[in-house]
Amino acid sequence: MVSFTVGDYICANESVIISANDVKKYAETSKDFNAIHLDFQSAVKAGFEREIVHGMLVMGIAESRLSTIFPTSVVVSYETKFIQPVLVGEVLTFSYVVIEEELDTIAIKIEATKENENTAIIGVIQFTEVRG
Amino acid sequence: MHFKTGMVSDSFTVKVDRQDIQNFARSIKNRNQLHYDLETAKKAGFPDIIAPPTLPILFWQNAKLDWLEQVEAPLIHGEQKFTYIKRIVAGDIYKCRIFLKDVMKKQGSTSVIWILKHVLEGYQNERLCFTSETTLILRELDENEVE
Repeated sequence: MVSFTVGDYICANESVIISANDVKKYAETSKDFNAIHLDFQSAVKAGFEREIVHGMLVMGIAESRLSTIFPTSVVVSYETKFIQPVLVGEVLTFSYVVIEEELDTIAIKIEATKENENTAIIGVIQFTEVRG
Repeated sequence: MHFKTGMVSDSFTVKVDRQDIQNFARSIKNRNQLHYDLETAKKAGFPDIIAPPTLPILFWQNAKLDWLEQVEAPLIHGEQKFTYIKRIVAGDIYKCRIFLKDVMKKQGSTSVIWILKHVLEGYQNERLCFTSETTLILRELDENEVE
């Protein structure tokens, strides 16, 4: 049985800084060496203030926190919209709110907020086999 | 540039190694031991270590997408969705393909914007196991921006 109800925060909000080294490691793992992530001039030329974090790194980190809270639960789906780019070295704050729960299934809204309080990513992850 | 709904890659095979899962989990700061330790995974009832749900994004490395080969402008990731019928564990082998599910072309204020929705499908024994939808946004470079 799920022990959360709609509107609950799954855990305390968490602030994370994604460093240039984090981005470099993710680029090596994912083989995504797009210059907007790794090279200042290329990022500026593309219209960004400086290098930006891979959206998939933000999406992955967002899920990692939940992975330790629901370690054996099954992810049915996980989707995000990348609304604003995340700059390398910027503080991001993640929040996790229950939006649906039924029997052993739970859907959680994930939001990552930037230092300027704009939303960087917004998404929903759905778990089943949740043992609360 | 020429993009058309229905464009599809050749099929390609992906084998998921333990090291792939461990490295990927580390790169996204995931501390769930089920992604790292075989004994922990077996005690929890899994045949091997389990993959984080965003792992299939790595499978793009194995694909050759003709329609993106000539693209010089940066591709921006707009949306991403993973859907699972079966959990991915180390040792799994998948037959995959990527296709263009939807193509939209918009005239922006200064350039043409393409919105390209790709779907990666992973199959075992011809049964669909997962899908990964990747929406990429492409702004065509002006002629004087091309080096």
